[in-house]
Amino acid sequence: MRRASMVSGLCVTALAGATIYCGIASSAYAQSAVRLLPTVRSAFQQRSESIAKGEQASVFLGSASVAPKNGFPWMVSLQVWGAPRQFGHFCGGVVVDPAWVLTAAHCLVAPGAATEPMRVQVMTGSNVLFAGGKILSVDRFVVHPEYRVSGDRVPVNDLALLHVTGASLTPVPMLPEAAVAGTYKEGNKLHIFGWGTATFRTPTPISNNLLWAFVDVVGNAKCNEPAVYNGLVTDNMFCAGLGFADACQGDSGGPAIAYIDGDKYLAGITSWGVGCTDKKYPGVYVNVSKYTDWIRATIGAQR
Amino acid sequence: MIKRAAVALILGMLLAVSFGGAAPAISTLDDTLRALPRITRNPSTWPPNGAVHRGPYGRPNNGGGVDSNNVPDKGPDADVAINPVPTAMAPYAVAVSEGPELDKDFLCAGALIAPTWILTAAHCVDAISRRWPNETQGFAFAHTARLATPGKRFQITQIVMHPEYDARGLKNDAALLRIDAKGDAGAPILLEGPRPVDQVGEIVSILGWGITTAQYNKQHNEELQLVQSAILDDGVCFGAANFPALRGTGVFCARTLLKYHDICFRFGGSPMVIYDDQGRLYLLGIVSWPATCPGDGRKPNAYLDVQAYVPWIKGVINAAR
Repeated sequence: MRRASMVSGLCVTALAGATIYCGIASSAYAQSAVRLLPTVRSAFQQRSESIAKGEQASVFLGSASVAPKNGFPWMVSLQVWGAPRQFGHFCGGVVVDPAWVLTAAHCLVAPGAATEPMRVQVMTGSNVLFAGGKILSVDRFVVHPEYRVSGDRVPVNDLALLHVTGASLTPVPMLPEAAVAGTYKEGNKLHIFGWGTATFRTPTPISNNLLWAFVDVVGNAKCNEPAVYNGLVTDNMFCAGLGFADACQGDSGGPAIAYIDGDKYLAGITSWGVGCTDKKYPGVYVNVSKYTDWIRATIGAQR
Repeated sequence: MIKRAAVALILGMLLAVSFGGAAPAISTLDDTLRALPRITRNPSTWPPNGAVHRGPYGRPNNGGGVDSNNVPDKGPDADVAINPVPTAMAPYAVAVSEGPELDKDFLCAGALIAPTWILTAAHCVDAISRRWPNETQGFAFAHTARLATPGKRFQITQIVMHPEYDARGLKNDAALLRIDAKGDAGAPILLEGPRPVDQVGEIVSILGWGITTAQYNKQHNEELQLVQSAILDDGVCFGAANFPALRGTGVFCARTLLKYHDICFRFGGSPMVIYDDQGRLYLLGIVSWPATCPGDGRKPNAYLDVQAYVPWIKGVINAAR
């Protein structure tokens, strides 16, 4: 079994102990959650290099809980253009406007290495990577202007918008202002989605089927304790999923959904964490409510 | 006090045994594939959408997939709730009790289908309907994450049993409960949508506060949980191995996606929901009687086909206006 041929995903950069979920990380790196990444590469880069070397992502039937069809029309898969769909997946994304997909910036770009929009495709309308749905092309990205990877290798302002062509997608609504406090409160359950791997340590393949899980929000104070992320979690991020279900490699860029009276709203974007389903380290998400102005302004300006 | 709902469920189990007979259970992948005409023989399309559980609670992935002889997968350990969900995800899921204290007097779950109407299983309220309203009271609780921490409480003001409810055969196991809500019980679930026969092979969600394994003592059964199942073809449902006596009685079958978890005690009356083609969630079924409780992940259960009862439901609600 060639380890190098395996895919593991959520791009996680690491400081001593912290890992940032990349879309898909190399398996050598994925062996250890506490090792520093020699260089930060985008999820896209890693997946395309792997495809170029003839490595296929092995795809397996999913796990966690499987998403039923038709319920989550705003969930998309970001894929390397032209690659077979089940091998090209490198990140999740969520539709926030009929022509715009929100994802994590680290999925698309790494410092000093941009990705060309035409090399990315968006799969929409299917829960299954290998079947159904539509493939859309992307004509531009807007990466958050203050996106950077900190000295501690944590992605900051980890958001990017992709403009897709030739389709009118179904967006997920942004969280109403009045619901913000309750949504990010410790213990609130959020619904996360992705085609990512089941475990971080072993080079498990991504899932062919869209999976979901519920994660409990962990307060930022608790998440920033010295034994956990030691201050790395800013006010623009939040933590969720301690030791139970968690996002993992390949889930980056996907949404964390909050429910209000049965309706779904966008609360977060999967960003980074140490390992997956770790009892000590929860997953860290971009707090999308802090970026609604940027998202609206960007979409408005680019129309 | 013996829980009447539990008695009814035990009765259901006994009936299931007598209906099931000694015919072989549907247990192998091939049996299942034959049973689901819309699912091709491509192994990567079974379970539907690849419904293999990886143990979401941090347990290692046990491989999953059809090659691992693990269909469906085992799911989380028996001592954890399967999928505790936020009440805001399912505002239509209500808990019904005989007395004012939910954790002591819980009877069954139900589905809010109109601002003041709940659909539940008739066997859940059969006993109290005989003594109601003079000798007993009924209540419904909305937004209840745990039975010990009930949400907003409403009094039941009317109980309408299905006129052809047959307690012996558990046929027409439907009852409507009217509550004294004023639009404040939460968002009702859409009542109408495609019939189960048009959703064969698709994944449904069942929401309730019940037990999902044989290890009752360990189970977090009081949390609102979500159990996923796949809808089975009627040919299998009413075949000799399952429920031949129930053909034409307003039920359909679904089978859990997990090996060791299925709906069991306390899931009676629980709503089973699915999305229609427009992405709207609607009420497809009501838990009538868990035939294989505790489930072994192979035998299906029969559920009340809500779509077959829509005319009756609408008639009752309109007559009460």
